[in-house]
Amino acid sequence: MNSSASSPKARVKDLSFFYGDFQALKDVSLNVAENEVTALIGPSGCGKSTLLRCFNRMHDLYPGSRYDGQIVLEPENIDLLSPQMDPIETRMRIGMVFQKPNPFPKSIFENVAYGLRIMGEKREAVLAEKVEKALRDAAIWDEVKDRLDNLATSLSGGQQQRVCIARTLATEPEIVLFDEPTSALDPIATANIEELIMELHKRVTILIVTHNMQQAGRVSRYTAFMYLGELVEFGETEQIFTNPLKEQTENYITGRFG
Amino acid sequence: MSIPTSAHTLKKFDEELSTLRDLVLKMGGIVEEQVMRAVDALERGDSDAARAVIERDRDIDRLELRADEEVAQLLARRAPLGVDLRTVLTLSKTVNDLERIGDEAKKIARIAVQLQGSPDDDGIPQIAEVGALSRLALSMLHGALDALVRLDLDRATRVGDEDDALDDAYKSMVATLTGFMSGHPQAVSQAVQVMFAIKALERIGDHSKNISEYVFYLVEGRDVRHPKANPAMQSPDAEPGQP
Repeated sequence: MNSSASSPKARVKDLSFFYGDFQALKDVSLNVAENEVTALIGPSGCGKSTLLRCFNRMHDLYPGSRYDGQIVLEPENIDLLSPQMDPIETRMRIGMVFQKPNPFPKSIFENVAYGLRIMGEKREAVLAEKVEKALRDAAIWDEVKDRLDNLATSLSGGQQQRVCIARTLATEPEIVLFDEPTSALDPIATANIEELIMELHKRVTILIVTHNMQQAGRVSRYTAFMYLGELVEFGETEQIFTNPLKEQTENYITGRFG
Repeated sequence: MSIPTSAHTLKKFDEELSTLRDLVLKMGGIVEEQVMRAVDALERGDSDAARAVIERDRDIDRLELRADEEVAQLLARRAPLGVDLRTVLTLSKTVNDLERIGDEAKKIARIAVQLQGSPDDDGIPQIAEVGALSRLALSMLHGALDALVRLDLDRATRVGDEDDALDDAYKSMVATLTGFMSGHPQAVSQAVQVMFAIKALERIGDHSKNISEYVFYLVEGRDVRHPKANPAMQSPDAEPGQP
């Protein structure tokens, strides 16, 4: 693996994950490069979403699951999976965007301000400024600036997704996790989100799970191919897509599914 | 890394790749014949045979058009990756080199017609040596196509070695012809034609070498062209055919 061009924002170290007795992740180790997009690809059940959800401790919500190993956040060198880490605080720092846009049944403004209010921000001027910045960063400010009080659910699917991204960005996370962010969207909305990701990664580290290999090719600098809970191959996307080292990777990306 | 032997889940993809491969092999077969017949026509002074070569070049052009269309469709519709991408790119570049080889054969055939038509008291003795040079070029062409079909890197490497021998033989013939021309000024215009013919054979060797280099790219994902300009080839160990 070559991530020498960019220092790691997070190091996954010998990570295993269990849903009860079932081992969904097997000794996964990889470095997530700072301010780059890393894509996780692989067939259904390979563990890519499971891995993604370790970063923001989503599995804590489900009893019977167990982490074994570490995800170390840099530069502080703290283990996100440590029981001493507050999962709520983790989720402020590690944001997530889901496959199905899930705005709250609130106004656009209140959606984006939600995390800030949870963090204790009460000053309306500060909230307004941060909401605007987040909506601009999510490339949707111009479309919604005159209707911030409208319900977020009144927007189109692609717009809703960008409001969800703005909501995530408002708390200024260090890493944003995207779990198949465009699989419910049409090509135009998809292109808008991908362009947004290409801009966003300059400021924030991005990890994206996608079923769409072409998408991984378009937006990511690094790609991890997973299979049955294992990390099979990790490398620069250019290399993985033109000359992968492992036969399994080659079979997957070329559509030789056996 | 070995080339996957299993089929694509999408069968049409395999069919389309096969179609492209078959077009390239067909082109290769015709091109080899064209070179042989053009040189033969030149050696024997047979302008009818030469004209047949010129006429048949159109078949090569037709195949090039079809192959390029197949390549475009594969790229557009299949978005090939990994070895499939390298295969399509390799075959596309091979088609281009084969079409150029076909043109060189046509040039040789045209020279054969021209020389046959010109009154000539002094035969050009070097025409006989064109045959020897052509055998080297044909061996390279055949070897390159063979290496491509069988994904044989050893065979591909040998084509590179043969190119050195061809270049030496070419330079030697140029020197001989130049010497001949100084002694036989009345035969200069014909000798110049022979010079063009051996230049065409040298070009055929170059194109064949190109094809052999693409095989490395297809099999290993390594671009072994232009060693002096290629940063990946700067290491002393970075020779084609060696890990």
